[in-house]
Amino acid sequence: MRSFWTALFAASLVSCALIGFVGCGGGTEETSTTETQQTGAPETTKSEGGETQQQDGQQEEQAAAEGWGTIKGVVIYKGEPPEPKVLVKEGDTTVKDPEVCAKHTITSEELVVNKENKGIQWAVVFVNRPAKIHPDLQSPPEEPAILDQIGCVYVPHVLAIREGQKLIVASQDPISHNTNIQGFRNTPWNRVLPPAEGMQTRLDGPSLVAEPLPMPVACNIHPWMKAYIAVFNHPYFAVTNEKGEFTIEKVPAGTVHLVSWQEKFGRGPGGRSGIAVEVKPGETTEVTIEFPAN
Amino acid sequence: MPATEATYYNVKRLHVIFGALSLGLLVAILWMIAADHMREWKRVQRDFLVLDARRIEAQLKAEQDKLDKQKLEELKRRRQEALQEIAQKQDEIAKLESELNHLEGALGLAREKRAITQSVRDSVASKLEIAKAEGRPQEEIEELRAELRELDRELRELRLKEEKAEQQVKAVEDKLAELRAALAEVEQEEKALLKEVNRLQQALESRQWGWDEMVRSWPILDAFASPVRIEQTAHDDLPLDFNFAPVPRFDRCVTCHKGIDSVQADGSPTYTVETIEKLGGKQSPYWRAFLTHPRPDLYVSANSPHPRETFGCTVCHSGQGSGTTFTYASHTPNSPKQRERWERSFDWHEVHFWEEPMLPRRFYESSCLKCHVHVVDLENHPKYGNPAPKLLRGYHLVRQYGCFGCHEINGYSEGKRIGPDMRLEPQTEEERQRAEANPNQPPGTMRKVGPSLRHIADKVTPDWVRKWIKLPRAFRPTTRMPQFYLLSNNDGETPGSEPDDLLRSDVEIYGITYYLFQNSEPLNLPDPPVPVDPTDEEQVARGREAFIEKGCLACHTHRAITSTIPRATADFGPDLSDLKLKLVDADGKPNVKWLFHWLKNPKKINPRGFMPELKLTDQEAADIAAWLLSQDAQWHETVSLEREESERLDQMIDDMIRTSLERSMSVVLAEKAVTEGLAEDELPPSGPERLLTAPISRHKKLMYIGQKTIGRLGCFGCHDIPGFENAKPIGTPLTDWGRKAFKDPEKLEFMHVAEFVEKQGPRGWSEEDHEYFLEGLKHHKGIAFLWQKLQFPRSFDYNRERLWDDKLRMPRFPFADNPEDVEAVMTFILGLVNDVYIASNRRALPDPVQFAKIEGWKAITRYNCAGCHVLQMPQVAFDATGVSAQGALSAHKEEFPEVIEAQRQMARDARVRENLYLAQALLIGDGVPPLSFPDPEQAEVYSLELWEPIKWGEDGVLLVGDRLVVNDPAAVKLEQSRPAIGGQFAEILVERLAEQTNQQYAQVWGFVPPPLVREGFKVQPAWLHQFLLDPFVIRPAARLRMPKFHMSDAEAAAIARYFAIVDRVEEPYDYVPEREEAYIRRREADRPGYFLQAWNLLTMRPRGDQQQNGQQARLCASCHRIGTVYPQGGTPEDMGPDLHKVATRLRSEYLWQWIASPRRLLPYTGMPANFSAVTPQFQDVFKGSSIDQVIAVKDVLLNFDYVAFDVVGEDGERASATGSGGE
Repeated sequence: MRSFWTALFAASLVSCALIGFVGCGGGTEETSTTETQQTGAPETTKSEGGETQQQDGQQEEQAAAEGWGTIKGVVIYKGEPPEPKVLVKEGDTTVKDPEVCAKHTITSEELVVNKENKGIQWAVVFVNRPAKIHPDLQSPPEEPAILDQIGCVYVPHVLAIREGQKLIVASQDPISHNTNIQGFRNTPWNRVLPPAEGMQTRLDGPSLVAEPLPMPVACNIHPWMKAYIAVFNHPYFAVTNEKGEFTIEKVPAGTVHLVSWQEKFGRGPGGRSGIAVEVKPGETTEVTIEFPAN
Repeated sequence: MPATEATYYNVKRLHVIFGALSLGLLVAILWMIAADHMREWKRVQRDFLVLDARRIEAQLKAEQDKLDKQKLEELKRRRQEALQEIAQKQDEIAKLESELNHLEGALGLAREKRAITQSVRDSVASKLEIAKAEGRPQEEIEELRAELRELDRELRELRLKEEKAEQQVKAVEDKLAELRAALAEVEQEEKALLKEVNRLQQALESRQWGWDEMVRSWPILDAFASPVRIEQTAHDDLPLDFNFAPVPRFDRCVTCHKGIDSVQADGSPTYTVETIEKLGGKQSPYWRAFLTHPRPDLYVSANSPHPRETFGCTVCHSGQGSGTTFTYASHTPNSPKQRERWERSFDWHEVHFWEEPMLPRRFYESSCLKCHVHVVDLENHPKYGNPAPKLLRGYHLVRQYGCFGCHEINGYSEGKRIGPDMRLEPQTEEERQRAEANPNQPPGTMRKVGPSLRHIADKVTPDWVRKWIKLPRAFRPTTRMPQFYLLSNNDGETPGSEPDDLLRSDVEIYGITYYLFQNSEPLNLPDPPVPVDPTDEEQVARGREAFIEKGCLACHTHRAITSTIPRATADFGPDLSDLKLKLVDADGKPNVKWLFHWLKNPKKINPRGFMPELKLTDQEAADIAAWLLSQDAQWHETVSLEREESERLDQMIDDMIRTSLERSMSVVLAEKAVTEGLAEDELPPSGPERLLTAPISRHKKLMYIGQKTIGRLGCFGCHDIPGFENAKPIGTPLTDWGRKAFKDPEKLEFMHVAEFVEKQGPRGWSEEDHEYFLEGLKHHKGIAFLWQKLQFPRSFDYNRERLWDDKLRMPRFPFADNPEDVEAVMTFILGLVNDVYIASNRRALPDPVQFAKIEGWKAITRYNCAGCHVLQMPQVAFDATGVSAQGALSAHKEEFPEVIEAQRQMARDARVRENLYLAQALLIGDGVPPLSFPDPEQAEVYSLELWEPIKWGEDGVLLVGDRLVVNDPAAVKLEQSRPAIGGQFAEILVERLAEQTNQQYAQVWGFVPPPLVREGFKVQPAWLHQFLLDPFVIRPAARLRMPKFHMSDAEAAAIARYFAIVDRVEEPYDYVPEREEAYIRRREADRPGYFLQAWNLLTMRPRGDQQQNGQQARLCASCHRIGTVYPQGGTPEDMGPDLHKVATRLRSEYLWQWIASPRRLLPYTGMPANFSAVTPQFQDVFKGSSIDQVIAVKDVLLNFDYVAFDVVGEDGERASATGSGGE
């Protein structure tokens, strides 16, 4: 009986996280809004540890404008998308733990392109050094982000979280996995996840600080397993959905720089500093980002 | 004869003469006194005193400025107040003082009285004992006893009185002190505040002369207690060599170099050019003498390994230590400019009669060799880095170019170590036995540097060999093979060489080649079992991949690879770019057979070569051979020889044989030898002439020329050549050349060489250097001779008329074109001084442990271990204020406290200066190759990954694998950082794999040769020893195999010991406490079933699976084979090392840390942390804390055989059964 409730709780958490993550940065969370006066956040924000965290890119003049706007866009693939590589064939007994991992065919998510609109899933788009942060979004979301492992595949493939947000590493497989997170600023984290009762393994992940690029996550036991975790010290980021779409809300009005990243191609148009986007108060700005960038 | 008033001499005249002489004498004495008073060193000392006083004055001023003025004022005020207060209470004080006086008198009396009574009592006591011993009457004894008792009582009373008096005195004293307390407090505070100022004031006073010093420094008076005086140190154990007699060394250098060992509180030099300039010290022409010695941490200062008192100066610098003038100290200029300045300022001239003039600045490092006879102890010193880089460069050049093949470099003299020992190893069995029987020196250890020519016919063609000999660089511009022909004394052009010399050269080349091929011993190699086809594009493509990935690039380079991987420039082995031209078989086809077998088993072809057995499969060897032989090749310069069948050649052959024979036999016989051949009785008893028997033939003539030329040019110094196994080195021994260069330059023949050099011009050298050495040549200096000999060895024949056989024969080495290399080799050779008198305890003779380390390092260098493996990570200098350890430290909360503690024990104090740290670390940034320092313009460094535990802050510690976030890019000081030692190939492979798989460097590092940082701490020396001799597969995932080197047992042992010694761990490692019977029993007694439970933990299938769907989930067995327990599925690339071999491989201390927290030992490892330090898991398998589980796994791994066979049973079935079921 107890395990049923645990499972239910976990499942609800997973779905919450997934919902929250699809609309990431969309401000769907009802976070406790602070009443403090907006003074215009400094270009660099002090993190918990007292060190100055900076997103990549050069100093930029932030247009002084009042109000907040929305950036809506799509990341699309230029050219004919290649067929995704098959990583594990169904029923292949030569792979590790075949009874779990070769139950279904696993294809590479390195480049997932929507056949209809050529939208790229799992791209990360974010505002480079936002001038200020909307009062609703001052503190990181309270609900944890979950990196799950289902059938020897990481779910989601790309996870974007905010500095200070709790990370949970989970597994629903009846075999051991390990989660090896290699960042630039974060001390590497590599822990084993032995299967727990009811195959609902949960482990508190490390507390992560903002990273200049998404961090690769790998399972050394099952070498095809790959995922990425992006960590930001502001709320203006998104991971594209299966149509390559993304929405970033409550962005400070004015000229902002939008940086994009995709696993296979690395940084997108504009490189480290990104492309300039004009955000008007109360309006939605549409953006199309193409990969690979020139 | 009557007495008269007349004197024999005219007195008046005598008076005049005497008067004049006296006057003359007086003038002479005055002159003498004046000259003595104005001696150079006195002026220098006076100038220094002024400078030193100025420095202290400046310090004093700074210190005074720093003083808290307010506080000082306040103290002054308080003192006034206190004095006033005292004055007010003067009456009371006076009263108390008189009372004190009185009481002290009483106390004195009381003390005296007690002391007297005490001695009376003691005497009575001894009388009593004597009386008892002598058996006196009882009454007498009783009487004495009563007396003693009475005295004891009296004594007690007196003591009471004394104590009372003491109390009274103290009470009055306290009262007085109370009245004066305010003043005392002020005085105390003043003293503390002015401590530094007072110290400096005192120091200043001692440097500023008062009237007494003035008087004492007057002429004549200064002979007695002059404030300026000669200072010297005497060194009996570092004597001077006065032609076979040791004479104690006296060094007076500090008489002038007074600031030489002056260091500041932080150890940095007091007097630098800047500080002297700032103090206005440059007014003195002698200001350079006041400079503090560079690197006082290493030299001269009292805390350095070379304190002045012990070593003096001239043992390193040479020069005349007893000289007290600039000239007679035998200073040697380093450039013509310096010489001019000295001549101008100090009236300097050369001292011709001092045989050890000071070494010019550029050769300072030479002297290190006097004591550091093993040389490599000066390399990568953990504390001092590389203090003698030029000397080390010279040593390695000599080692690589094999100078010792012709020139003996003997490190022994009568059984004593006197210098570097670089003798060739014995070439034959008899020679080895003879050498081993000699108690005075062990056999040489150096291998011949060139390839063996014993099987040359199997490898190359005579045509290629001839062109190669004539001009090696034409085939391979980066070769180390020296050039013998087309040099200034045989090019047919330069004065001193005649046009026929070109033909003579060709005759010799034909002879050598002919001899080599005639004597080549066939290898009878079979055809490769796998086809090798350089025209097969697929095979060639595979071969290229294998060439890159199988380790060839660790030692070799190839044009076709550097075009895409510019970093692949290894030069341990030859550049393989043009092999296609070289490896041609007798039929003119690519010599796939030789190359295939060379790749598969090089030892069979050249047992003393350095090419290891790479453990290639037949297919891989074939592919690599195909690729190498498919690449376009070309001669880089045109080389032509006379046609083989030409009449001119034959005539010249005869001519050369004739000329050569005429030196040892009659003209008639010589002619006969060429035309008919010689009869047995006409032949000399030995030598190549014995080949010239009748009937003579072209074959015999060429064999004669070949053998004679190989002997004359000494080809066997570098190559193994049949027939020359017992030949002796042909060159001048270098063992004491560094001494001879100064002592006997007249034995060197300079002839017209200066003219040659003047014509040549400076070439790669600066005008100044060129002029410097040219001057030296003109003045017949040994140093200049060496300079020219290394660059143009034949130029001493310039413009001379010499017979072919008499011409100089030293070849020109390719390093001759690089001035830095030439100076480095010179530095090494000038250090070979054969100083037999230095006391052994003064030499850097290592103890057995250090010696083992040196031997190990030499073997590591010899086999180029650093080509693949990182031996030390980059040492990154960073400013602690610009980085943050916050994240790393908070991650420690999830770490095992035991691991933190263990690393705290290992942690080094990496702080260099206040906030500057220097620690082994990697720079982590986007696109920053793992071992490289990035161009700050191109890439940003985000964090530093530590590779050694270091002390941090007050009593904190940072662990291996911690990331220090770089907040300020300027915090990373690249210019003060030191690059990694070794690992170039590993880095190439990591970059390549990361690019191929779109992963980060850390994720692919596990597939390449591992870094050997902490290797000694990791593995058991006995295992490493075995592994080096017979490497096997440890990590199935690795991309390439550890090759098998043809090292001796001793070398393997030395390398194994080396790693243990540098990590300061126990070696040998024979005793493993965990394997002790008592330990095993204790474990089992404390927890019945301990080893079985531990085994289950190791091999378990964590629960949750069986009940539900019978999956084979495992912990360790997810990746590792554990005896008979295998992971489910997967390819070798997915597997970790086989755990049943851990027991003999890893050290216990390493093993448990590794199981607990792998990345705390190897940050990039893919091995996860299996046991959470915070939450214990697997309680149904092994109940206990996580660290207990870690220890249990360690115990079972170290007792694998015992557990597998005695506890679990042979097949491990019981383990699986129990493991799944829990309790």
